[in-house]
Amino acid sequence: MSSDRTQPEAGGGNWLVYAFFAFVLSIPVGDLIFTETGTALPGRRFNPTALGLEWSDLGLGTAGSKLESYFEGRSLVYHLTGALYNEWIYQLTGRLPGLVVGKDNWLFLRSNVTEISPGERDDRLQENVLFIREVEKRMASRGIKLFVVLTPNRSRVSPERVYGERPAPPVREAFLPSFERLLTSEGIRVANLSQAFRQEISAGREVFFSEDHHWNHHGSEVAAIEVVSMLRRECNLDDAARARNFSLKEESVAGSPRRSLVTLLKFRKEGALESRFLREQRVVEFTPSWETLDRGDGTGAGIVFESSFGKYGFPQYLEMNLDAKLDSIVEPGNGSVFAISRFLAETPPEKESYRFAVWEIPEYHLLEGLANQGLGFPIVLPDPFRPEDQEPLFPALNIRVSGMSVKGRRYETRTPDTGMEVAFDQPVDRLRLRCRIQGNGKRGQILCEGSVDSGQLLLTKTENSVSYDFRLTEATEEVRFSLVFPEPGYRILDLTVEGGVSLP
Amino acid sequence: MLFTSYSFLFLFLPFFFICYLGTPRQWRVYLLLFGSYLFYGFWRFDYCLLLFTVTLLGYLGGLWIHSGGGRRRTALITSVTLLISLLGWFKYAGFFGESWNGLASWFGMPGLQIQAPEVLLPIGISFFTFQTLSYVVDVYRGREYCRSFFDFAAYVALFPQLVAGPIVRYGDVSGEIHKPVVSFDDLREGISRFMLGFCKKVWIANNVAPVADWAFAQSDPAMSVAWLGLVCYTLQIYFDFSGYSDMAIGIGMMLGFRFPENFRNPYRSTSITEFWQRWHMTMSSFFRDYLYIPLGGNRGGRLRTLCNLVLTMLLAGLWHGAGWTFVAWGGLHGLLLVIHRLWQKSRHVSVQNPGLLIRSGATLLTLLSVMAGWVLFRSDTLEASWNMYRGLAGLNGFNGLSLFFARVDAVFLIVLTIGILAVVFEGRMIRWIPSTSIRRLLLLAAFVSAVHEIGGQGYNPFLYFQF
Repeated sequence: MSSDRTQPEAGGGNWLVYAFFAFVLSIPVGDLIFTETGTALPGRRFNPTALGLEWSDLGLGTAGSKLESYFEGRSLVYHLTGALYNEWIYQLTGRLPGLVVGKDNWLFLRSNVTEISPGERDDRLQENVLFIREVEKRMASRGIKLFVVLTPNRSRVSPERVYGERPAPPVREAFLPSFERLLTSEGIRVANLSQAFRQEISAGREVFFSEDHHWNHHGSEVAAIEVVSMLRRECNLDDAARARNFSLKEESVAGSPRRSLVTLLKFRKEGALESRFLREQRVVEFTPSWETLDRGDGTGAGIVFESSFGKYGFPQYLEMNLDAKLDSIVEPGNGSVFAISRFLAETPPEKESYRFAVWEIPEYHLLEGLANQGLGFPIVLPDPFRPEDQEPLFPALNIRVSGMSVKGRRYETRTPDTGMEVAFDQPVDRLRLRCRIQGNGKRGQILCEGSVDSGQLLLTKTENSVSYDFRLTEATEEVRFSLVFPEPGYRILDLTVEGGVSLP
Repeated sequence: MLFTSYSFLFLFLPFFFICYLGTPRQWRVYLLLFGSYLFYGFWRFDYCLLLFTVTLLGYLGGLWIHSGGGRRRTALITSVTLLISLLGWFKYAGFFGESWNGLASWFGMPGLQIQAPEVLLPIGISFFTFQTLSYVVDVYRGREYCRSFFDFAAYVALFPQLVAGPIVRYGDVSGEIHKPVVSFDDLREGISRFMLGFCKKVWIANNVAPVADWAFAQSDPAMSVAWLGLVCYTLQIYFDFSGYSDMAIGIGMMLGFRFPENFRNPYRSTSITEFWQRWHMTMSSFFRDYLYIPLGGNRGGRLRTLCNLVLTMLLAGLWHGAGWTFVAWGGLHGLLLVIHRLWQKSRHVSVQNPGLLIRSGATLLTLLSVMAGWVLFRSDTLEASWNMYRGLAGLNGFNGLSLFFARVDAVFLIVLTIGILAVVFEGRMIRWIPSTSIRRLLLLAAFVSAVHEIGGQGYNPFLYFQF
């Protein structure tokens, strides 16, 4: 009878032991050296992060995730072997690489970038501008007008929420305006959202999610209005497309090798590349042979290239304010360079296409050195959630869910769009939802009817407990939440919803 | 800590091993104990207290029984009751509370409803509690006794098998626990075994899992979808769990321990009885030795034997999870065992050397029965499993092919094919590659690739962690 057990191989094979230990030891030793010396790995700039391990992490089970994230951004696995692995897998199977390479992905990733000094900055900006200019020319040859939308970091327009009373790193005030100036001087149409966002925030209207750096729905709407005014100014859209059968593609799941170092490295200059795959990709002649990009039926008046999760509403608001249908391509967390290059490769110059393309570029995608301004800081929550401003929170009477199956205290989403109806035995105007989610590093969205706050569902891999606070405009006994997931099959554990009443 | 996490592979494993190999034999047990608690505490350090409590209860219970004289039985009952109570509270309190509330609601008496306790299930509690129970009973039976608390604590917390088995009895490791010896051959074999298990989990189980999850998430799955999902889940649970067992056994070997085997080509069984002699063997032998036989086994007549079988399987089902689907799964297997037992007793013609056709037919029938059980095992509710059964029977329609093809790609088909071939041919498949060195080289390459693959797969805990 055969057995599952692998029988010992007779004799020899000692090299396997050495190879195994060499592999599992080389990674942490290499990581430690890179981390502690600050040495840059090819293609990555070293970016020191404090480990910040505390005793409470042991009890909370967050020690492991902290350790992993400490190394993640600069690990050998992620950078050297990971990039090669992604490429091999693509070459051998045609499957899009899956390994998450690095924690962050920037618009222009360069090799041997070790530190950013003020002297270097202009050169790099100029390089970025030239690339955008190239894209703009290629768009123009297809009859498409390119509009670049510069999205400021939250720390730029709302530093008090990001840093609170903590010391803020020096702000590079000049960066975004100088980049905008450079683009304009090249004849590129630019909208900078900094001013509009600042105005909203100073008027008491929040444009970001309460707990992170992404726009909330109001922010999306503000951005859309700003962009539409520019579109109307620069582009004749009166006859745009009512005659055509437009479709809105809310979110593209275009099978790109997301978060792959390969994806980004391919835009490096020719000659600096080590492999066949990378050699074939050049800044000025990118002709990727990836599978067909799904971007709706391609008949919208314009196309929007977004860098964040599509369901936050930006293209929807854009569509509403423009009164024309749009198509949208989202490359979550990746910037839109890849999507744009593929779009251009698949859209021949003679083909009738869109009137315009909107390319949304977040400030933190532009230069890594500026990116982390505030990104590592937990957002300071609005004041009303301080304990002294409200009665103690009390638990909900009843929670009813839709789009989820319930098993004990475990909820499992069966569709991407799920809902939750929560009843209290008295009207509440403050809500706190707590849970743990078995996630995969992606993000979803949580909305609460009648609330000025909305949040990002953090579908972390670590199952840490997360909580979301909502302020209601009116006290009510019944509250509805919408929870939007990237796909079905997430598990929500230890869900609690508490309500409270603000003190007058 | 997951075996398939970077924290384990690149931090815990290499540094623990360097320390372990550099530690004199007589001190290794202390390092093992410390490492095991660190391994467990990586998830929730406060639950190490629970692990320690179970260990203490088992050790004191053993001590009391060993020196108990006429009160040995009292000592046994007390120890077993305390251990089962702990397991019951952490694993079943919520389930029984909710079931009670459901019953009260069913009878229209909401006043009887109680506040169901909400207790976070500690990982691996079923495994380490069962190991402790087995020790206490073995001491009572005069088979085992451990004088040293540290040896016993290291046995209970032994990290390779702490959270998902195999269920190791004290007798399995008593010879090595005090002064474990690591030989180069064990190290090589252990590494091979670990890498094999790692590849099973990452390459096969994790690749078929999304399709299984997707199929089981359908409210009314069409026939093709339902069968695709069920085949995938059948492969997933086997490669997931046997992969974990391989890794545990491999790490055990690397540490100088020989853990019992947990699987022996279960899907090639020709009867359901044989299946349970090949699937999760350490658990089934646990239930046989510590429940079925004490209940009377097959010594009390046919009816009693059948009742014992069903009861054992019901409890085995409940051990897997606090839910009615698991109870139903256990009940189904109990029923299948009863049918097989009755069929064996009633047949008049004995088939001594069944031909290939009969054996294939019996294997297929057994496999289909097991797969029918997996529907209950995987579904969240009995209603969901009913929908799946309807889909399998074609009652939700046949036309799901477009969905089917939307979910599969070349890599998935390759993985599925390898998975099925591995189930059918098992050990023989490895010998298709004639050279040992090439086999090892391929295994190493598959392992290194799998290490990278997990970076893109997200959080993929082992299925048996929830038990």
